[in-house]
Amino acid sequence: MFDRIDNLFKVFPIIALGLLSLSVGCGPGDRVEVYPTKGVVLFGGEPMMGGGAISFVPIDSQAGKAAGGTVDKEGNFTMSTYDPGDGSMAGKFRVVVMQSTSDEIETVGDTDIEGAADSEAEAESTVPVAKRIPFTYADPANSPLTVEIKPEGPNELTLELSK
Amino acid sequence: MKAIVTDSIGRRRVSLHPRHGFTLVELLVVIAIIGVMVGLLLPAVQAAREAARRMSCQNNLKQMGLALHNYHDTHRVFPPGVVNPRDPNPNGANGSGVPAMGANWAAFILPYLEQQAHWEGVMTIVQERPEVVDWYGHGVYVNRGITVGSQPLPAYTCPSHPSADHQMANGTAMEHLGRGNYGANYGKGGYGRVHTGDGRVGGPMANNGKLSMTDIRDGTSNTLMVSELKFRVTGANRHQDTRGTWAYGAMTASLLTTRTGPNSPVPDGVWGCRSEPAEGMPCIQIGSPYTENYSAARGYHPGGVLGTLADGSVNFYSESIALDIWQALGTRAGGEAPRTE
Repeated sequence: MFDRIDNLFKVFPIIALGLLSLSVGCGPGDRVEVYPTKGVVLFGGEPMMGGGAISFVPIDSQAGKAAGGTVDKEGNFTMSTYDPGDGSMAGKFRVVVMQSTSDEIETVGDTDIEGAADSEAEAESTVPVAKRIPFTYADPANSPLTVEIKPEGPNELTLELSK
Repeated sequence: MKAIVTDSIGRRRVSLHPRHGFTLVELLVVIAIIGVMVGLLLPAVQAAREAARRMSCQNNLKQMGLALHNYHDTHRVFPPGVVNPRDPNPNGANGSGVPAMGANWAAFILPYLEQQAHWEGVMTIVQERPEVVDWYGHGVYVNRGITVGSQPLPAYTCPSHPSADHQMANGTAMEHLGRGNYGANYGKGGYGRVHTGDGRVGGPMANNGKLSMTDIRDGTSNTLMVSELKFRVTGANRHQDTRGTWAYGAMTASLLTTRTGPNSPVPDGVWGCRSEPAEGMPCIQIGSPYTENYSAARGYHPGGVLGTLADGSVNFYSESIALDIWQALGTRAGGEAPRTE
């Protein structure tokens, strides 16, 4: 009985090796290191209205997946790359901000009757014109905002937008 | 019972070939080894299955590339991304009888994908209802046997996508459109002609576009033509999400941009979507102006998306591709020097 337990201990490293090779074999491929990044978008000193999207465009043709995030109605955002909220890779980026200024009205599916297909799917404005950010911030080539994400952090950004 | 056990032990002792049962420890070791081997094998089997599905998706893209080339041979131009008389904003016109959004590239190449019956359905609807897209898959026509748009077509469905048999139903009269997984490339800008009309920004297809090979000055081997799109699988509001709908010529339904990278974490800016980051499908509503709609190529293959270039070749693009290379692939006349990583 005792030498059988000994045998088990001899087999154990093989099992451990097997499990190890399993975990190595399924590791993520060409992922780059990402660092937690979050911040707030201000327009004229106040949080940007309406929410929207934020995207990092690498300035010096850097390889690796570029980060993005959703800006909430209070102007806050958290960048994600591979998993929600994991951050951005390090480097210099042009920041592109898209503002959502209208909302689609919630609709219900129609019936299958001819003529029932009326649709008032026009936009419902959620942001007054004075609170809308200039288009240049949504232009990936010309947005004036730039940031640098550093591995040592903390990457807490305050993006000041102006007219 | 006892007598037999004693008996058998006695027999074993005298036997030249000793036989005994397995102890618990030995059994556990064997199970552990089998467990490890299965653990090693199962991911390999799954990977092989995904590889086969991916091949099927690649084949679909190849067929689309051929169909687009055959269309080009016949008409001397690539099909428009979508016929859109109210370019760029057909909103509010759908179902009103006003010509809004018409046939898209996926409809125009139907005859070249051996879908003649569906193409005749398109033409019937075009002649009877100039506003067209509202009536794809509509009960009025489905009852007459014209089912174009209402069904997913195998040619436009990537098997890597989790199956879901639902149709779009966003209340804008385009209720019954079947899902699809492919989008024409509109370049690195957005939906409107302000972007797609400019060769430095737009792709090989555009709203009302009549672009030919000669317009693709970056070279057909350096310009993306078709790539992949996802549609929603879960969530109560998935029917209202227009993303991944083959017969609907809206951004992210059957059109995409290279403004953001493959499988980008940047939310797509489209009209008629409900964000679902958990499915890798974040989005925000951009309805005013409609010209600014954009959408990333998205797929279910691990690590990237497949795409057909304008020369008809099919490649896999890693989601780690440098964004400027991806955007250069998206433009038809960007003048970027071809560069690989």
